[in-house]
Amino acid sequence: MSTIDDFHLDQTAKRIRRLFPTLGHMSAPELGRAGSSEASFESSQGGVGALPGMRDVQAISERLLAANRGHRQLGATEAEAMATNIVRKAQNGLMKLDGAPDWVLDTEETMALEAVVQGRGQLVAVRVMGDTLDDIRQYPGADMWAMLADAHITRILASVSAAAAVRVTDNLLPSLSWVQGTAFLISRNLALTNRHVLFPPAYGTRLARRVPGTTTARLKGEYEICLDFAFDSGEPRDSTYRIVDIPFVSEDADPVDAALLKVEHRAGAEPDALTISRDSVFDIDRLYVVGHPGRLASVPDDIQMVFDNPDERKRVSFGKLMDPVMSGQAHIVHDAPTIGGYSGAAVHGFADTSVHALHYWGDAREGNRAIAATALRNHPTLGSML
Amino acid sequence: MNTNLVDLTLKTYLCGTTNSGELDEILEESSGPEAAGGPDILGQKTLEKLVMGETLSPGERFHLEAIIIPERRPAIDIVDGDYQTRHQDWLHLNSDPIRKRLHTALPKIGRVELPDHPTLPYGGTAFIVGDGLLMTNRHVAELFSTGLGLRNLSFILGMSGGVDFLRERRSIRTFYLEFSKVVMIHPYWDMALVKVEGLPGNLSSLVLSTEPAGSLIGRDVAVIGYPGFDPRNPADVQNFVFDGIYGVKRLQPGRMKAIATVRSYNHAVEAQTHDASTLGGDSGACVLDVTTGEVIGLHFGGRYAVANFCVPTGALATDGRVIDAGVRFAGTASRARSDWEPFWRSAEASAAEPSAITLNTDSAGRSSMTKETGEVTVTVPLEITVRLGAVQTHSVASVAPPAIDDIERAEEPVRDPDYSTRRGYDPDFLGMRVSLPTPRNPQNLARVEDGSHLLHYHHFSLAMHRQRRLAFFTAANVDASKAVKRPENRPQSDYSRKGLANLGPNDQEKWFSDPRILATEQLPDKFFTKDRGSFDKGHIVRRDDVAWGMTYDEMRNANGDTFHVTNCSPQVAGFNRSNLGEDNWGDLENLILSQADTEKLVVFSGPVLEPNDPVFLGVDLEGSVAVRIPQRYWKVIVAEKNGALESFAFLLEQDLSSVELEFLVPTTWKRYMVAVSRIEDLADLDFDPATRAADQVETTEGVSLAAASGFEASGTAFPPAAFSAISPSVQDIVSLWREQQTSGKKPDDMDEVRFVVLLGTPLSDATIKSEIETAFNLEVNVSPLFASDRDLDRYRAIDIPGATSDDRADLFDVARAINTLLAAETVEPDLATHYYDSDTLRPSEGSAESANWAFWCWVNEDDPANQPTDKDWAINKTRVPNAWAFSESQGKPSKGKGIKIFQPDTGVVPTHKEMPPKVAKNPLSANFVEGGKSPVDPMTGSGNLGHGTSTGSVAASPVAGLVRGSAPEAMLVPIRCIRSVAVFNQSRVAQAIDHARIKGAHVITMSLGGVVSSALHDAVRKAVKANIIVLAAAGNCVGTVVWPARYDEVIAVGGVNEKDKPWKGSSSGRSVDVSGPAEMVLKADARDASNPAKASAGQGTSYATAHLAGVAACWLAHHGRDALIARLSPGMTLQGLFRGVLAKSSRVPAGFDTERYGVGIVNAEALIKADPAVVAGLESAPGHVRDIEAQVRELLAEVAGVGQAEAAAPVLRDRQSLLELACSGLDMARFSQSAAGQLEARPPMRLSSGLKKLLGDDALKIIR
Repeated sequence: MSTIDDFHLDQTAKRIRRLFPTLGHMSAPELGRAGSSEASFESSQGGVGALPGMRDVQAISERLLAANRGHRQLGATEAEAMATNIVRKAQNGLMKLDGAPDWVLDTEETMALEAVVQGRGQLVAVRVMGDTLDDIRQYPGADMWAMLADAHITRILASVSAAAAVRVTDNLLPSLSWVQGTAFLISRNLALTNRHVLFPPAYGTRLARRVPGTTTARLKGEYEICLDFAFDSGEPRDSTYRIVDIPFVSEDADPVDAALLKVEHRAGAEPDALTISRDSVFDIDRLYVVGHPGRLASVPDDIQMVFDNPDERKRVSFGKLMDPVMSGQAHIVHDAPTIGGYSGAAVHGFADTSVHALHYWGDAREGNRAIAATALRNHPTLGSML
Repeated sequence: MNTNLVDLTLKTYLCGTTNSGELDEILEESSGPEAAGGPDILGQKTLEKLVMGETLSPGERFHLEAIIIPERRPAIDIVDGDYQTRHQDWLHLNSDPIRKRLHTALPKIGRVELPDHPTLPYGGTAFIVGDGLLMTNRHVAELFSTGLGLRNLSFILGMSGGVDFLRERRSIRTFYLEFSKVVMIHPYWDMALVKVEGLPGNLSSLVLSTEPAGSLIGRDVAVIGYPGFDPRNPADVQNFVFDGIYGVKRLQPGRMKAIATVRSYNHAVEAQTHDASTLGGDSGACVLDVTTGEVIGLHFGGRYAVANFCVPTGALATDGRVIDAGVRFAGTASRARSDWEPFWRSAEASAAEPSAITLNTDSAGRSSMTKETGEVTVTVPLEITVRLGAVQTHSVASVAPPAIDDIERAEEPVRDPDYSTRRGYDPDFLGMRVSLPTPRNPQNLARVEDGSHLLHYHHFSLAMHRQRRLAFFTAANVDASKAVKRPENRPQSDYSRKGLANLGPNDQEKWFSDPRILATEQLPDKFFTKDRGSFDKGHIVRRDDVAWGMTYDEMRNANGDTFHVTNCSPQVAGFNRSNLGEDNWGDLENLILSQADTEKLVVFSGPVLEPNDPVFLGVDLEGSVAVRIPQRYWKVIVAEKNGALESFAFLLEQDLSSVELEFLVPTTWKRYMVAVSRIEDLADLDFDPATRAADQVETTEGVSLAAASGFEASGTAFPPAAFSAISPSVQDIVSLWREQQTSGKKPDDMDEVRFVVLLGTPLSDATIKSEIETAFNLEVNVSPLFASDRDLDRYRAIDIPGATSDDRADLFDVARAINTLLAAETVEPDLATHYYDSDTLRPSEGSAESANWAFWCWVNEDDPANQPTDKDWAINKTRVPNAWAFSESQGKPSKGKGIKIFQPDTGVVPTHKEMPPKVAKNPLSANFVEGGKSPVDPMTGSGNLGHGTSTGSVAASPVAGLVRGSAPEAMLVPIRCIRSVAVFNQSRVAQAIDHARIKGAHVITMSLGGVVSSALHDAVRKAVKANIIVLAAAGNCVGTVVWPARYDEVIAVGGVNEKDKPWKGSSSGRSVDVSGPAEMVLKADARDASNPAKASAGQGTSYATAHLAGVAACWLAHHGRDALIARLSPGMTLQGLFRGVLAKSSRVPAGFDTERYGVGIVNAEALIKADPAVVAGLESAPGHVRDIEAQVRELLAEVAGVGQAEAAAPVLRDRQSLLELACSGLDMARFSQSAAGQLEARPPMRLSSGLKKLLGDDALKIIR
C-alpha cells in the first residue's frame, strides 16, 4: 500500500507564487504603490505573471457582466466597481504573501487572486452544454485552451460524457437535493470517486457506513443517491444510474482517497466507460478535469460571479501539471481551477480518454492534488477491481 | 363551662393547694432562690393574670395545668413497693416515719382486674381492710357483680374479678388473687367489700380511722391507687402530669379539704374532699393520713384539678353492718344511727325479691346497654361512654367463654429480666449520626417512665401508638458482621431461632407484653393467638436484624426482645416474609449491605396507621377488642457508603379488601420504593434531615436495589408506551455494531461507542441493559458514570463493547432511540470532537487533518518578528515572581505551596525534567483512558503530543530547569482523560472533573474543550460549589469559545501575546473571563525523547489556562484557602470570589477588547495584593448563569446569524437536540476558519435523522 511518504509533499509547488512569478522580484514600496494608487493599475500591463492591475479590472468586469447574462441587470459601472474591489484585494494578498508563509492569505484575498487568474483566462473552467462545451474564447487570454480543446474535442467530450454528478436527495427533506462530488464510469456497472465524497471530512453528510472489518460500505437508507451524467448547462435530458453498493472505499488513513461505486443504469443515455491509465505520464504538461463544482458558501458573491457562479453543473477545467510527472509516482499536482470542488473527478491528458489521475484535493494556494492512475492501479485492494 | 368559669375553677383549685388559700403564696414561693419547684416566668405571669381575674389563653391555661399543678400535686411512682419524691412540696414524704407507714400500706393496695370485661382494662383500686377483706367502690364492684346490700350479691354471669397487688411501673411482676365473694355493696356510700382467699400473712389489714370527717381538714394525705387515663380531661395535660403512664400503682399526695355535698347514686352524700391529682382508675383508692398511716377515706370520684371526693372512714366506722363485715378500724368503732339507715332497709327489703341479673335493668343508671344503638353506658361516677358501633353489639353480647387451651404450650423466649439495661437504638451506630425520627403528633404515643415516647430494647427502640396499640415506628441497629452474629462460637443450634429463645423443638414462641406501658396501649399475645387465624404475628423489627451481640447473652437478650408484643403487628401475610416464605426484607437488606461500605445498617420501620384502616374484632385480656389493622407498612433503610449516608425507603401494601377478618387470606404484598418524604407523611413523623437528604429514591442506585429485590419504583411509568419499534435507519446502524461485536475485535475503550444517559426516572442498570439489549439486539454495558453520588447518580454510561462509529449523525440517532426507550432526560453520545486545535505544526498536505487545518490561527514561530523579547515573558510579564516575593515578604505560603492543582489532560511524561518529582505516582491522580493505570502520557497518536506535560509545566514546573511554572510548589495532580487534546470525549472529562472534586482538588485546570455535555456541566457545577477554582481554555482556532470554558460557572481563559495583543488563534467572546499568555509561552517539550529537558515556545489558550491555574494556586496559598472560604458571603463560591478579584486586579492595556477577551490580562502580583474582602462581601459574583439551551442559542446566533438560531428555536427546547445543535454551531464556526472551507463546495452539514425530522424545512437553514 502506498503511504503518505510516497507523495513527496515537500516538493509541492506553490501555485500562487507560480501564477504571479514577479512577486518575488518586487520591492515592498513597489508593491505598496501597486496596491494603493490608481496609477499602478495604469502602469500594469497585465498578462501572465503580471501584478493585478487595471487590465484585470476590465477582464473581471467583463466576466461579471457575462456571468450576469439572463439573471439580473448589472451595469458596466457597477461591474467595474466590483472588479476594482476584487483586484484591490488580490493586490493586498500579494503584498501579504511577500516574504511570508503561504498561508497568510485570507479567504477573500485568495479568492480575489484566483479571480484575477480566471479573468486573465490563464486557467478556465468551461461549462458543458449538453454534447458540447461552452465557448472558451469568451475568456480573454484563453485562446490557447480553446485551440487545444478544439483539437481534442471528440476525446474531451467522451471523457465528459462518462463523468457524472453524485446527486443526493434527502428522503427526510425532499426539498433538499445536492451534488456531493463527481464520479466517472470505469466499467458498465462501476464508477470511481473519492472516499471523501461518501465520507466528507469533518462535518459533511456521510452517505454510507463502513462494514466493519472490510473496505466495503453500505449506503444509508435515508438518502437517495444517483449518478447524473446529464447534469450540465445544456438542454435537460436524462442519463442516470443508481448506486447500489460500495464494493470498495479506502480506509481513513489510506492516502488513496478513493471509492468504487457499483451502479445500475436507470434511465437515458449509457455513456462509455473510461479506462484507468496504466501509466500516469502525460504527453504534454496540459490537462483537464471534468467535475461538478458547487456553490461556495464562504466566498463573496462578486467573486463567485467571476467564476461564473459555480452551480454544481458539469464543467471542464483546464490546467497544467505543476511538477514534472514521472512514471509510477503516487500523485500529481496541477493548477486547473477546481474552485467549487471537483472531488472524484477524473484528470485527463489530451492524448486519449484514459484517466490519468483521480482529483481529490483543491488548493488554490499550493496546487491541486490528484491520485495518479498508477497509484490507483497499484492499490492492493482497489487495483484488482479496476 | 365557659372560660371564665374554667379559670375560676382553676384558681380555686390552685388556691386550695396553698396553705394561705391565696395564689400569692405560689408567686412568693417562686421568687426565692429555692424556687426549683415553683412556677417559671411564664407560669408566674399566668398566675398573676389569674390573680387579677384576667381571662387566660388556652396556652396559659395549659401551662398552669400542666406545669404548675403537677408541681403541687404530683403522681409519684411506686417501684418495688417504694417511692421517692423530688417534689419540693412533698419532700417530707421521704422522711423515715412517713415512709415507714406508707411502705407498710403500699403492698396492701391492689388493682381490681376484670379479666372477662369486654372493654375495660381494669376496674379501679381495692385495699385490704380486714381478714381476706378488701374495700373498693361500689361502682367498681358493680363492674363484675350485682346486687345491693349484703344479700343476693353475686358475680355477673361470665364475669370475674380479682386484685393484683403489684402492677407497678417498670415491672412485669404480678400478685393476683381472684375475688371469691362479694361481701357488701353499700346502698348509700360508694363502697363495696369483696373477699379473696389466700392472702399471705404479711399482708395484714390496713387500719381505718374513726375520726369524724370534719376533724381531718388540712391533713396531708396520700391517695394510693391506679390512676387510669381519663378521657374527660385534656389529654395533653393529663399525659404531662402522668408521664403518659397509666394503670400502675401511684402515690398521689394532697390535702384533706372541706366536707362537700355531692350526688352519689342519686342521693346527696356528705363527702370529704381532697386535692390530690387523681384519675378514674383511682376509684377505690385509699386515702391515707401520712401522719398516722391510717386510712381516712375511700376515694370514689371527682375531677382532677377541680375536686375529689372520698367516703370518710369516720362515717363508715359508725355503720354497724360495715363493722360486722370485719373491717378493721382504729380504736373502737361505735355504731350510730346514720343518715343511710333507710337505704339499708330499702336494700334489704328488695333483696328478698329475686333480682334480675341483666345489664340494663338498673334504674340507678349504673350500667346500661342499649341493644339498638350498641351504646354501653357505664356509670362509674366518672362516666365513660364507649361507642362500639352497631355491628358490634352482637359480638359484645356473644363473647365466648374463655378458651381452655389457648396457650398451645407456648413459651416465652428468653429475655433480659432487667429493663434498665436496655440501651435501645444507637444513633451513632453507623459512625455517622442517624437520629431517630420525630413524631409529628407525640400526644398519640404511649409514654414511658422517662417522659419520652421511646421504649428501648437491646439494639432497637420503638414508640407505641397509644390508641392503635401498635408500634408507631421502630428503629433498629443491624449488624451483619460474623463476629457479632456468632459470639463465643457456640454449637450451631445455639444460634438458631429456638436456640436463642431456649425453646424446645415443639415449643411455640409466646409473645409478651411490655410492662413499661399500659396493657391498654399494646395488644397482648392473646390477641394474636385468638384471632381465628387471621393474622401472622409479624415482627416489625426483624429478629435476625437485631439478634447480634458481643456475647451470647447479649445476642440472646436482643433476640428475646423482639418478641415483645410492642414489636408485633397483625399482618395478613408476613410483612417481613415474602409470599414464598422467604425473607424478602432480608434479601433487600442484604443487598443494601453488599453495596454499603460497612456491615451495618439502620432500619426504621412501622405500620402506616390510617384512620380508615379496617376494624378487626378480636379479644384481649379484658375481652372483646376492636383493632384497626394497618394495610401498609414502611421501611427506611440507612447505610453508609463512600463516607456518606444513603437512605432507601420502601412501602408495602397488603390487600385486606376481601378479608372478612375471619380467615387467613393469602395476599400478595405490593412493594414499592418511595421517597423518604412520602414515608414521613404516611407515618406522621419526620426523619432527621441527614436521612432525608440521603434518600436514594430518585437515584439509579436505589432503583437498582429495589429492582434486584422485587420492588417497584413508585410512580415510575415504565416502560414508556411511546416506544414501539426502532426505525430502519437505527436498525441499520446497530446491525453494523452487532457485526463488530461478533467479529470479536476489541478496539480501544476510548474508541468504543459510549452514550451517557441522564435518566428521567431512576432505572436500574440491569433494566437499562436489558431494555437496550432487547430492543437493539446488542451487547451493552451499563455502569454509573460517576462515583456514587446522589446528585450525579442519574448519569449512567452505556458502552457498546466492540462497536465504533465516527458518524456523528448515527450516534445521535441511536442516542435519540435510547432516549425514547428509557424515557430519559438526555442521552448524549461521546463524540470525540475536534474543536480544539492545539498544534502549530501544519498537518501533511492532502491528509484528512489538513482539510480541517486552521491555517490562520498560528503565528509563525520561525519569524523573528514573532519572537518575544523575553523567553520567559509569560511568567515575568504577569508579575508572577513579584507575587511570590510578596507572599514571602509577608510570611505567607508562596508559589502555590500546599495547593492541589488537578489537571485533566493527556497525562504527563514523568521523566521530563520539567515535571515535579513522582508526578505520575500521585495517589490522587487517575487515568480514564487506560483505566486503573497511572496518568502517563504514552506519547502516541496525533495532535499536540505531550500536551499534558507542556501545560503541566506551565502551571507547576519546579523553579529549577528552563521552565518555571507559575506555582512551582503546588501539587500537580495529572488526570489522563484524553488521548489527544484535539479529540474531546465529554464523558471522560466529566469523570475527571468529578474525580478531582472527590479527591480534594483546589484548582481544576482544563486546557481542552469541545461541545456541551450535561454530565460534564453537572460535574463542573458540583466542583464549583465545592469551592474548587475551575478554569478552562477558551479555545483555539475555532473563533468562538468552546465548552467547558463556555459554561458560565467556569472561568474561561483567552490568550494574548507579549505585546498585550490577542493571540490570533484565541477564541473570544463574551464567555471569556480573563486572558493570559498564549503565544510563544515557554513550556516543557516532551516530543523529543532523547532530550528529557527540552523546552520550547508554545501557542494556545492551553497555556494561558495552565498559567492562571498556577496563579490561582499562589493566591489560595497566600490568603489561605480555608480563610478565604470562611469569608465568603452566603451563596458565594471561591470561584466567584476569585473571579471578582481577577476583575479588580487584571491589567487592561490601552485598546484591550474587554468585550471579547475578558476583564484584562492576569496580573499575579496585583491579584495577590488585592483585598479579597472587598469582593467576598458581595452577594454573588458570577451573575446570570445561563443554561445549556441559552448557550446553544447564543452560539447559533453568533456563528450563523439570528435567522439560523430562530430556525432552531423550537428544537432548542428539546434537551435531546442541544448537543447536536451545539455541534452544528461549532461546525459552522470551525468550518469557516478552515482550509477546506475555502474553495470547495461543502456538502450539507450532517444532521441526524431525528433532528432533521424535528427541524423540518428549517433544517435547511442550518444544514447549508
